[in-house]
Amino acid sequence: MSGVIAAIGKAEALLAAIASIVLFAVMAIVASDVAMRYVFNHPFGWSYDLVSLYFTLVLFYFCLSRAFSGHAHVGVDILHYYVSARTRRVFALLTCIISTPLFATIAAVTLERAVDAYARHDIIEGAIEWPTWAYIALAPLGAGLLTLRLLTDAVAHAIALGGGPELIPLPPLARSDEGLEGASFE
Amino acid sequence: MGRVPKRPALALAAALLLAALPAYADKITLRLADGMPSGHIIDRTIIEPFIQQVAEATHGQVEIRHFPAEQLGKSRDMLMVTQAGVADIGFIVPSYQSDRMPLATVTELPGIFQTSCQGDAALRALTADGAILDEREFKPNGVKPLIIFLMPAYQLILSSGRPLGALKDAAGLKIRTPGGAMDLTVMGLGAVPIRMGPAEIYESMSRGTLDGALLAYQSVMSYHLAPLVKSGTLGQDFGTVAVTFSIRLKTWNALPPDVRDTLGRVGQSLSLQACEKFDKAEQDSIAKVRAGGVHLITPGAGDHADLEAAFARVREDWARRLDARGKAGTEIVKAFMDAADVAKPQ
Repeated sequence: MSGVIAAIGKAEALLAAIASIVLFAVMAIVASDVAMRYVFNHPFGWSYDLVSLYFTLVLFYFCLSRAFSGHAHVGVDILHYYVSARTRRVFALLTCIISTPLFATIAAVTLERAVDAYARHDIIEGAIEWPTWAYIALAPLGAGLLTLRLLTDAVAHAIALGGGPELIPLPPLARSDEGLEGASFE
Repeated sequence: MGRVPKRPALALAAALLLAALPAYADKITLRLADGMPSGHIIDRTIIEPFIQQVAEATHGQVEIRHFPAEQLGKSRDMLMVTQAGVADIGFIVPSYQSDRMPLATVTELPGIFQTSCQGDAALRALTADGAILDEREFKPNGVKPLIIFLMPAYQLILSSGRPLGALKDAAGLKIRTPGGAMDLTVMGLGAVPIRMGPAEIYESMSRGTLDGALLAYQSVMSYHLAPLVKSGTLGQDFGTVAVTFSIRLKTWNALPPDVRDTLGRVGQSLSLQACEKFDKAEQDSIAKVRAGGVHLITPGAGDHADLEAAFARVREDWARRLDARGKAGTEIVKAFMDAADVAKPQ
């Protein structure tokens, strides 16, 4: 089990690293485009589509699972201050159980769309013929990894509640020492 | 005497209730979604009359609930929103769905028709039941056009301070297009096409990330772009977009035959009236932007000859690209030009 958790962690780190490179690429492309436009009167024709169709989705979906495992997402933890560690783990387990079907559905629906777009050779008509499957496929990749993360977290929390080893720590409380230590997401 | 016995009174009440039940049960509510702000010219001249006329013709049996301003989804996603049943009738503009409806973007090709009514008639011929666009794009996508028309011919409008004396002055500028064939037209001018929906133009122009757009003047007014626009062309045909309000086929097939007839009839009647209404609105809008200080130019004879040659190249290039992907590019261009010829004003 700990091997699976480590493998998912590595996959999250890889996608987050790609997203970081893409973020830098967005900055470089936009800056170059501005220079080409105002200095050489020859702006890029591809930059807007590349950034809006592909890179924005990479930034969102590739950070999805890493944001969850790094506790960088929005979370309401008012009750967590007043309950025991065991109850907090029950809350964490419930969060995983409730969220898994949602992200599994997103992954399945978008995967189906990506496969359909690939089979039909769908492209967006225009100056550059952008294939649509390539950006649709980013969604099942990110949502699928988050689904796996939620499933393994659910199992790990259940094992801990059943008296087994604590394979993953509890989400840290905001403004607590553990929260401040854990607030170093990327 | 004169006293109604209790049992018959109860029976009468029950009968009345039962008679009323089917009418209540048959009430049909359809959701209509679009991407335009409330008060848009299409809203006023097409959607509001459509909703009202359908309600009147069906004596209130059919209620159409309107969700404007991208409430149910982005303009670019309206086909998917309709296919998924989130909306029953969607604002489906083939230019925004060029991945799923490439042939229907033929209307974006420049220089094919002279008047909006001629273009509308040609488009209706191609989208009628069993016609090429119906068979190859609307039906396979699970939708049926109820209302279909063209916007007036798009013009080049600039928010950039660069003076627009001739069309070559647009070289190097970033120009918004709906995508598709208009990208090729903009490239033909030496400018850079930027694909985006109309709702995003204001923000991009006000930030200076966009220098201009291909757009009808009534959309300039509807999207409140007039204060940002400094110059624009008049009397050119840079192509235009087809606007459809299409119903999901599954919903359509589930409707009673008389309701289908009414929707089809009212939709067709509004489609037929659209071109005259939009041509008038376009002239009104041109007068307003002119009064607002927008510098309007009519390209000269030299520009005109260059444009005709560029437009012909765009049509050939577009058809060739589609042919290469196994789509009927040349066939649809020929069909649209033939239909436009048939509808040519005498």
